[in-house]
Amino acid sequence: MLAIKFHHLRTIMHRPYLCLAWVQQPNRPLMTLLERAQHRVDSLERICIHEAQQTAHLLHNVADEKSLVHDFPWWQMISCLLCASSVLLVARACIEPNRADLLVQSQTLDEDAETCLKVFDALSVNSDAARRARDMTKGLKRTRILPRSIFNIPFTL
Amino acid sequence: MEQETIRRTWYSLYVLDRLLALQLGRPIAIHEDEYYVNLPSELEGNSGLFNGEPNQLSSIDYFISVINFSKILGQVISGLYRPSQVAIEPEKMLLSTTTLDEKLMNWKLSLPRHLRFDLGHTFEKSTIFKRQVRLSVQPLKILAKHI
Repeated sequence: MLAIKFHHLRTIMHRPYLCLAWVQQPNRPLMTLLERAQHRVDSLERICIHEAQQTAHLLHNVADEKSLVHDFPWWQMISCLLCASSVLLVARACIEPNRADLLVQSQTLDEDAETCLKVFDALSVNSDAARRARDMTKGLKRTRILPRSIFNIPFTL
Repeated sequence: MEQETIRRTWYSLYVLDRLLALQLGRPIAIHEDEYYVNLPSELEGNSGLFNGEPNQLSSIDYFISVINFSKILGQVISGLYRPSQVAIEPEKMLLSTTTLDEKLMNWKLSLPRHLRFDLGHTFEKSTIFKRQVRLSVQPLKILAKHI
């Protein structure tokens, strides 16, 4: 459980830097910071995504719902996994779909988010919270942000 | 024994306060400068949760690690997730993130070996996981026994 707590907190700590250029366009002071310290901000964003992936990886080897409920406190897990999956899907949504060089990265993020989705599915049999988390994650999965080069504002499909 | 029970009760509430603040997005209720309570310690006659095992793993190690983690968690909530009306200078935010991240990394590095989840003993990993889940409820169980 310490591992999940650690990766979750580190994800949250770095989440303000996730897709900053997209979500904070109207915020001039932040955009100025982004221009001045772009490498630093990029590296903090990478940490956020990496930690969300680490959270998902911890659940790779969970065999079934029974071992999940028995071995993990599910009431803490749902919010940790919802945070991880939303970070992964937002990061994936911000990747321009026509960038062939980022295709593998996009698929990896998708697979890790899918791991979280499977856990929600397994827990949703007995948990309304898990069911809602699953539906939110599925909704977010359908979200795409059009390339910045076409429109300078994010929107969802 | 009674003092130890009170300490454990206090720090159980402290950990829950931080956990709920994180999960519900609410401000923390217990502020560091408003209390002084010694950290819990091992109860006499209960020196090892897994008595008979070679490493004599202790539930109190886990509880103290979670308390220290919760302190950093409180600082993250207060420092990086203030209400949106209170603007944070971007430069300060960058510095706060770096400082808090260093604290969290130091917390991980200072964990007792049997709680270090990042060490390469893969065979032990799942066992450690399961033990940690059980250990996470142990202080309250011990507490309940003595109330």
